[in-house]
Amino acid sequence: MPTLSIDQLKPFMVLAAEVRNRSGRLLAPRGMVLSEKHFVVFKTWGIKDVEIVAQDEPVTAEMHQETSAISETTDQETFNKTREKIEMIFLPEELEHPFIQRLVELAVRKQVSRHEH
Amino acid sequence: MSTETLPTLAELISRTSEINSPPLIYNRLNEAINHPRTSVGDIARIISEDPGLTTRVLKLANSPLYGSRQVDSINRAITLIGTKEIRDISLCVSMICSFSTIPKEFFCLHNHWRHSIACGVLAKNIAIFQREPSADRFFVAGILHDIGQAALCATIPQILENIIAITDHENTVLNEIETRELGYDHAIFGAELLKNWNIPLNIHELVRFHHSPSQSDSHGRDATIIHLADIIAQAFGYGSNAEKRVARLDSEAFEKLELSSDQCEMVISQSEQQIDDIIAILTAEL
Repeated sequence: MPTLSIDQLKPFMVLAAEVRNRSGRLLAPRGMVLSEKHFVVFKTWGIKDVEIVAQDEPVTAEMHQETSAISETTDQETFNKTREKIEMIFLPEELEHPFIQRLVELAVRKQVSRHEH
Repeated sequence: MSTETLPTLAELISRTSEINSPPLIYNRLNEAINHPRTSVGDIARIISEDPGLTTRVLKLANSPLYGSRQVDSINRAITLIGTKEIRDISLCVSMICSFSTIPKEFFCLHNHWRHSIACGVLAKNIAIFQREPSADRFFVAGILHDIGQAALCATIPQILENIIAITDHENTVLNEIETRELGYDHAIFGAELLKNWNIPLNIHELVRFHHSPSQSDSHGRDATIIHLADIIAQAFGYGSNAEKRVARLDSEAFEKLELSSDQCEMVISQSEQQIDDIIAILTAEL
């Protein structure tokens, strides 16, 4: 199972091992099919490299099962508080736009990770 | 509102021009660039007359925004960044160094430029993602997008303070209150100011429409990039202190840009370190 640096990752590669941040929180489980979104999350949390399933290697059923377990285990309360603060700087009606919702999501993650380091 | 009479746009422009002269170095660089026989050495000599500008240009040329190469002379920096871009960056640097008359109590100049630089870096990176030609002009337009805000603080601090206070109680954004109370907002004022200083259309038009890009006839797409960068900067903690809320998204313009949220994420993660570096370089002595 090759270990690749974050810069070498491409969408649709499959994780051969779970990825955790420095404090041990799960960022993505084994068997996760990667997308651009994950690369950003890994960079945000300072992950340097990850283990990838070689292309000719079969993805086991066990791996697939793990992906269904949610990848976010970070303290929900911290997230909620940060989210509340960030949402406050938006006009309420703006929060209905899907792009703004995504932006808030990203800003929350960023802020929580800043606090962690 | 205060008893002070509200100035018209024209009055305010002439008042600002008394305090902040159009940047001399910009005009000299502009003349030199437009002269057919000017060499890189001539441009370098003009920049070298200003030690502060020289240092900042060299640091910028060595920063990740320009590929972190080893640049040790102004001549090399000009070759790397480009003559027109150097002229525009010197405009930003002289703007950042001016407006020292602003009362510090309610308007922190450092936060203002922090927000503006974040917007400039994000705008440049969005432009690169969108494969826009000469992405540097977005860096410049981003840095200058709120120049009208700084100028309002310098000329009518009392009136602006009252306007800012209104936003505490109303569910609205600053530029809407400005328009209601003054008849124009900081975007219009900033654009008029830049126009008055002979700064080209492809910059002042983006400043003019950074809150309403879909209303621009000629530069809607470019203004959308500044608009989006402004929103992202504010959402990610690089807010200006006058504006407490994130601007309203111009969704019509946003749809046309076709920037996916994945691309947006990439832009943000790419920009983060650059923003901090460029803020450190450009606001070193503020």
